[in-house]
Amino acid sequence: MTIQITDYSDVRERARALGLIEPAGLVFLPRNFDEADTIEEFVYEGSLPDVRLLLREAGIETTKLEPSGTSSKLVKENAFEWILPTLFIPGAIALYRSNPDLAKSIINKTWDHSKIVFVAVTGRTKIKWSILIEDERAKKTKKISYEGPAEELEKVRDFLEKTLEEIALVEEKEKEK
Amino acid sequence: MTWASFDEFQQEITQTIDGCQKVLFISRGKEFQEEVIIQLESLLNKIQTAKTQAIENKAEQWANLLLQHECITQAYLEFARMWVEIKNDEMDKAWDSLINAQMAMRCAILVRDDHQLHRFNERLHLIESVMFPSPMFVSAGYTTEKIECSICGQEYGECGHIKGRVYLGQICACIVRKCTFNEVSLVADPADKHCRTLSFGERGRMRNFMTWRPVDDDTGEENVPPTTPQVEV
Repeated sequence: MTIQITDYSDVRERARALGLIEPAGLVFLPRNFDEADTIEEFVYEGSLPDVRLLLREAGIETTKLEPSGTSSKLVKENAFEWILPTLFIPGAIALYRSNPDLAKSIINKTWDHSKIVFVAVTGRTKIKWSILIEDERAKKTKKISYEGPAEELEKVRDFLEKTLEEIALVEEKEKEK
Repeated sequence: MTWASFDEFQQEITQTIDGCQKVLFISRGKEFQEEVIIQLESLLNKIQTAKTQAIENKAEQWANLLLQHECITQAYLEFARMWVEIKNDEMDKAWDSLINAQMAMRCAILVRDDHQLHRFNERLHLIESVMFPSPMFVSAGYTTEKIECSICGQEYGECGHIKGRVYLGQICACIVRKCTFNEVSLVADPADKHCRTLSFGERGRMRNFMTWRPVDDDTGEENVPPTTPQVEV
């Protein structure tokens, strides 16, 4: 199991360069977001519709990068692993303050569904997922990348919550100054 | 209703499934296993008829229960077929039957999680690892442009049904209507274990992966010796 946290490029700037509307809410990014020349080239992980529906069930709405009515191309690779689409959380601190259970809701719902995805699998299970957290104030984006078994997905929730809390704390300290 | 009462339904299921279990071992007579196949096929037919009626009547609980028993019966049927095929020296077919049994059992557990079903599922996987050589699996990579929901026929993701969940006697699945193939990869954990290498080259000749017998270059069929084969070293 590996969880890595790295710096990521400016998603808003990249969206502008592609002529897209800047993300206003939670949004899933295509697999080739960094390399695509046009939005017609966008391809998403095959699990995109599933995860979008799951979050909707948890009361979390996601927006689309493309204009409404555009259907998304999905990549299907039939190895037995569950690759989730990259989730971008813009203005993460504002979202976190308005809904402190956001990370918990996202991860718990996904974890719950992984039991269906991997039902009756006797060997190892494997999930790959990246979540991008935008720190709007510092103009930075952090990327949390997880690769590991479904049973340990809760560690992503802890990591996500910790990262959000740290960013919020820095912001508060700066305000105090 | 195919059965006069629920008790009658339960009795037939229990009798047939329990009855078949005692012959589902390699040492048990092939004639008994063939007999069990006929019984399970008949039961499967009755369950499917009843399930169709339940779906028409929108009797969700009954339809889901029948779906689970349909999957369990299918799993035992494929398992029985596997033993007969092994005895008939049809190893490619035997592999396919075992994988069908695993897939049916997975669907049964999807409908309702049950400890006994998990135990049978583990047995099926154990048989795979001890009775067959481990093949190289292949996986197709493709980009979909149009996928439909198997429950309602609408574009998947827009209708609200979620793949793998059970709705009125059916498990939701995605039907790919338009796609572009990208690649084929060798993978260790495929989504479908039917997708595997059938034969391989060794010292300039092709061999069947399951039996290790040479295969005909043109037809791909095994050259089955008329008598006991001599193992080449």
